[in-house]
Parts: sequence; C-alpha cells; structure tokens
Amino acid sequence: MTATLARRRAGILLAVLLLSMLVLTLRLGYVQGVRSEEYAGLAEQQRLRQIELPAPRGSIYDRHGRDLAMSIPARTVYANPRQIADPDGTARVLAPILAQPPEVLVERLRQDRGFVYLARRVDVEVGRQIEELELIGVSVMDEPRRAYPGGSLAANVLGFVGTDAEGLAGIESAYDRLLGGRPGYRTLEQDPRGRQIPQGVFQEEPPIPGSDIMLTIDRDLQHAAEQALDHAIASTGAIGGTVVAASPRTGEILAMVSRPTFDPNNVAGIDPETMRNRTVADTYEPGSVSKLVVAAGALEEQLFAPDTPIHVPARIHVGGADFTDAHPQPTRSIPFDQVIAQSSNVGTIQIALELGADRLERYLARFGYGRGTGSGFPGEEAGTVPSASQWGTSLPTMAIGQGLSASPLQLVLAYSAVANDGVRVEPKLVGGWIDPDGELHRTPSPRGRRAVSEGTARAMRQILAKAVEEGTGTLAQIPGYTVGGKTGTAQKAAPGGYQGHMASFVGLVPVEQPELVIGVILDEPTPIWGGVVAAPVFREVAETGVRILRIPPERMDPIPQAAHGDTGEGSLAVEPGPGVLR
Amino acid sequence: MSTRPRHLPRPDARPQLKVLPGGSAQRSAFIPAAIVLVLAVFAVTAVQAYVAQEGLRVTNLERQVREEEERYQLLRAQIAQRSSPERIRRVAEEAGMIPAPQRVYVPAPAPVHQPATRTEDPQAVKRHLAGVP
Repeated sequence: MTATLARRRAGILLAVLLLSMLVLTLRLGYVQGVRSEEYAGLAEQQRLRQIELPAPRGSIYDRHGRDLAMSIPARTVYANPRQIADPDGTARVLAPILAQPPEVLVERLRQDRGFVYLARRVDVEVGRQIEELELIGVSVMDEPRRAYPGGSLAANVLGFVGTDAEGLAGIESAYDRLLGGRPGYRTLEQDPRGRQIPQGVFQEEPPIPGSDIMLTIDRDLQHAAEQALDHAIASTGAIGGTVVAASPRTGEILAMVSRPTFDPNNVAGIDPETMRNRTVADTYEPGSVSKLVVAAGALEEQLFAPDTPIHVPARIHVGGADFTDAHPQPTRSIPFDQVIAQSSNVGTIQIALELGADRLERYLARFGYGRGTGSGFPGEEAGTVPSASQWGTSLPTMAIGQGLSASPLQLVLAYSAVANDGVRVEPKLVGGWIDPDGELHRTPSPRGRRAVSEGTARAMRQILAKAVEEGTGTLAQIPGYTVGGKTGTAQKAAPGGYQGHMASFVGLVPVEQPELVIGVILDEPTPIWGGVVAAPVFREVAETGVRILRIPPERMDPIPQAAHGDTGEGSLAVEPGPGVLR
Repeated sequence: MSTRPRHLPRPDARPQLKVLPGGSAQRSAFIPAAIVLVLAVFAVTAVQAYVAQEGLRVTNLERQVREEEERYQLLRAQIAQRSSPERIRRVAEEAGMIPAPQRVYVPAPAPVHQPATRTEDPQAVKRHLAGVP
C-alpha cells in the first residue's frame, strides 16, 4: 500500500516535471523558432546604431593656394537625458569642462528626450576630457568646425556657414554644394555605455569630402587694400567704403573689400548690414567717374578729338536747371581732354548734348551699366539706368553721373574696358576648384564684349593720365609709373532727395599697357572730394599691387644723393632710415 | 553457515567469460578522435582570440591614424593663422618696424666684367682647404 502510494506520488511528480519541461520546451521553441527573427531584430535594434559621418567641407584658397577658409577637427558633446539618473551631478561635472553654467546643462539634461546637444564643435581636447569621464548617457562625436585663419580678411567675399555647416553667405553659400560634399554613414553595435562591440556588426559608407575652391583674390593685395581703406575711413570719418582691384585683361578680381565688415569666426549677434558685400550688392550714383562713358562715346562717334577746343561757359542752363562746375570757373576755352581731366560739369554736359540721349544710353549699356556683371556673386545688384525715352530733361544729370546707379564692381569693369583696349571682360572671382581626388578644374576664361574701339580706348587712357598728372587726381600718382584715372564726388541718394556724398576714384596702371584697375569709394567722408580722400587710397593699393604683380616700373628714379657712400662709383649703398636695422 | 533456504537451487558457478574480438580497436579509435576534437576546439578558440586581438589592434591603429590626421589639420590651421598678413603686420609693429617711408626705383649697378684668370695653385682658389686638392 505504502509502495503504491509512493509510486503514485512519484508518478505525479514526474508528470508535473515532464509537463513543465514540455511547456518550457514549447516556449523555447516558440521564442527561438517561431519568433526568433522578431526578437533578434529587437535585440539588434538596441545594439545597432547608425551614425552620420559629416563630410569634410572643402577649403577656400586665394590664387596662390593660401588658406582663406578651412575646416578643422572639433567635437560635439551630446546626451541621452533618459539614460542619465543624476542630471545635477552630471551637469556639475561637465560645466567647468564645457565652460557653461551648470543650470543651463541641467535644463537640457532634464528634458524628456533621447538626444540633446550639450556643446557643439568644441576643441578636440575638450572632447577627449569628456570621453575620459565615461559618463553614462553622455557621448562625443566628430563634427568639424569652420575656421577663417585671416579673421575678417575678405570676410564679405567668403561669407560664413551656419550651425550645420551650410553656407549662408558669400562664396560659402554660392558654392555650398561643391564645398559641402556628401555625408557618409556608419552602422555599428554598441554596448549600453556606447562602446563599440568588437567583431559586432560594422558597416560604413564613407563620406565624400567637399571640393576645395581657389579664388582669384590675392591674399596680400586684399590685406593691403583693407588696410588702406580702413585708414581712410578712420581719418575721414566715413561710414563705409569699398575697394575693388581687377586685372583688366583676364577679368580676375584680385581684391574685393567692403566696409563695414565682420569676423566670420564669430557671427553670433553680428549686424547683418556688416555682412553685405557692398562691391556688388550696393549701387550708388557714381558722379564724375561716369564721365568716362560720355567722353568715350563722343570720341568713338568722332564728334570730338582729344585736342578739340570746347567753349565752356561758367554756367549752363539746360532743361530748366542751371549747372556749374564743382569749383566755379570763368568762361574759358579748353581742349576736350581737359574737360575730363579737370572734371568740368559744364563741359561734359555740352559734350553729352552733342552725343545725344540715345547714343549715351547705348554707350552706358556697352560699358555695363544697368545689367549684371556675370560675377555669380549672391545678392549682386545690376544698378539702374532709366530708358532714354524717360530722361526728358535729365540728360545733363545723366552725363555727370547722377540719376543713374551702378555698383563699385560695375565701375571698375567699365574702366577695365578702357584698360583692355576697348573690350569689357566679365569678372572672375573663382579661378577653379580642386575635387576630392586632387584634380584642379579651372573655370573657363570669361567672355569679352567690345565697348569701344582700340583707338578710342588708347585716347581715353591718355585723357585719364592727364587727369592724374595735372587734373583732379594728382594724389593718385605713384613713383615710377604712369597712372590714369578719374575722380568722383557724387551726391548720395536718400529718401526724398540727396543727403551726404560718395567720394570715389577709379584708376588704372600703367597707362600704356594697364595690368591693374582699382576702384575706391568712400561713403560720407570728410572732406567729400574724391581727389582728396579716395585717390590716396588708390595710390596705396596700387603701390602694393605693382610689387605683388611684379609690374616693372616705367621709369627709374636717380639714386638719391644720400644713398651715395664711399664704397665706390656705381655701387649702391642705402642710408639706413627709420626702422631699418643696421 | 549458509542462510540460504534449502529448497532454492544453488547458483551455477560463474560462467567462463571470454574477450570478444574487436573491442580494443574501438577503444583505440575513440581516444585519438577525442584528442583531435579537443585540439580542434582549442585551435578554433585560439584563432578567434587572435582574430579578436588583431581586430582590436586594427581599431587602435585606425584611431591613431585619425588622431594624426586631426593633428595635421590643426597644425595646418595654426600655420595659416600665424602666416596671416594681419598677424604679421601686428607682430612687425610690436617689434618696432614701420612701412618704408619712401619708395624709389633705381637701376641696378652695371655688372663688372672681369675675365677669369688661370691658376695652378689650388690654394689661390680654395684658400680654406689649405693644401687639400
């Protein structure tokens, strides 16, 4: 009886055990068999992580391959607040390293989100310190930072990038796709602490780096032009200004300065007005520098010759308005070329009346007024030239450069046409780009369009030379070279009329075969005269330009007497001057 | 004195047992197979350990390469910043240098033409060698 009971109990126990094992086996089979893929997928999702690999942004170089903008390694610190058990403690640890107030970090770490940025694009060393802490929920990733080693050098040309490294202005914006490349992806298995599991899943699609861009800008000439303009603005109290230097034969822009400016390394809170490239985005009534078009048109139409005498009264009454010269002159008879050299408003109006509105409108178009230059720079303005049919009695004002508007770059290109034997060439700011394989692709040579004949251009250069030699532009002279150019002092358009003045000078050097054209504009300087405040800026930039471009001087100066030493005839000994080390 | 009941027959004597042929061969084949299996397991484990070790080494090397590339980029940025014209101008001013006050262009002195003279004395040509041909 007892044995039977014992056997029965053993049997029941065995049955229970077998049943349990059966259930477990069935469950195991169900999990490992029927739903194995589903659970494996869930587990993989927990471990797998896909990281976007940012593409290194291409650099921007000057014409000699010197860095103007580049991407440097940096780190971004981020967190998963849901994994952080002690936000206050974590923030206290991170705050001194990230140089942020703890309360700011606490606020981010308390958010009910799976991802928050704590600091973007900090130094590599900062990232390394964070990684060493091995804080749960806090991670570090690579995210390069944009750097402009020259500070504000050419800032208005280069532009800047935004938080996500996208170009927002200037060349950075215009060539964003070329510079940006394409991001890659990395898929890997990580443990709960975010560390990669060796021999785990690892797939990577490498990023495609951005291409580098080579500008036509010369870094050293750009800096010299910026220095010269800054000095002039400081000494005249001007509110801004521009300088453009270009090669008339190739259209290459060698310097492009806009003031006010900014530092693209730190754009937070910057006034947007300082970011504008005023050489292309701003237009103004050019004033007397525009007399080039009237004179060139008159010569081209053979209405006058450079030595044709013109009777210039003290004042002229046209279209119900009286016009005089800027500095009132008595009635006189002067040659055509002196009308321009001395910037006579009355004489120029007489020439324009002879030329007529229709032909003047045509020559304004030939010299690029009222149309885009083709620079491709974002935000470029074409300026305004009313149709001749709408001029009415405005021909005199058009002739002396008021009533129409042009950008500083347009004016430089107009003078470049005269420098280039009558052919106006489109500007070129980008010389080429270098693809990720290192191959240089040059941009095609810009197109040219004839504005006036070679003979007219040559005659105009001689007239411009007289303007500098004996006219209003004498302060633009530089030793050893012949300079031609035109001054301008124009009223500045304002709502309801005119207020203030723009002082300008556009010149070329050397006159016989110009290789450099430079345009300078100062906004509301004191004094207001272009020949007084803008011409010296031209001289300073041109003196540096001829050295950088290795333009040989046209004439040599005798060796200064003080330089003759006792070392023998024919030798050169220079007396040390201030700042020269013995 | 036996306690066995009398009515039960006495068990037979233990039957003679003899060894069947073939048993030793099975035993001798099993042991080498077991040894090979164990060795194979160790070998696979060793290979996996080596692969894991090399994988870590590759990961470390890749990390070193990345670090060196970053260092290069940072140094290049430093060079660009230090060679910027504005910085050089500032350093020059701090050193007391000023732009040249006057710039003139003068012709270079005419070169002096002096015919070369022939000599057999090496010391006349290379005085500092003093006797060395």
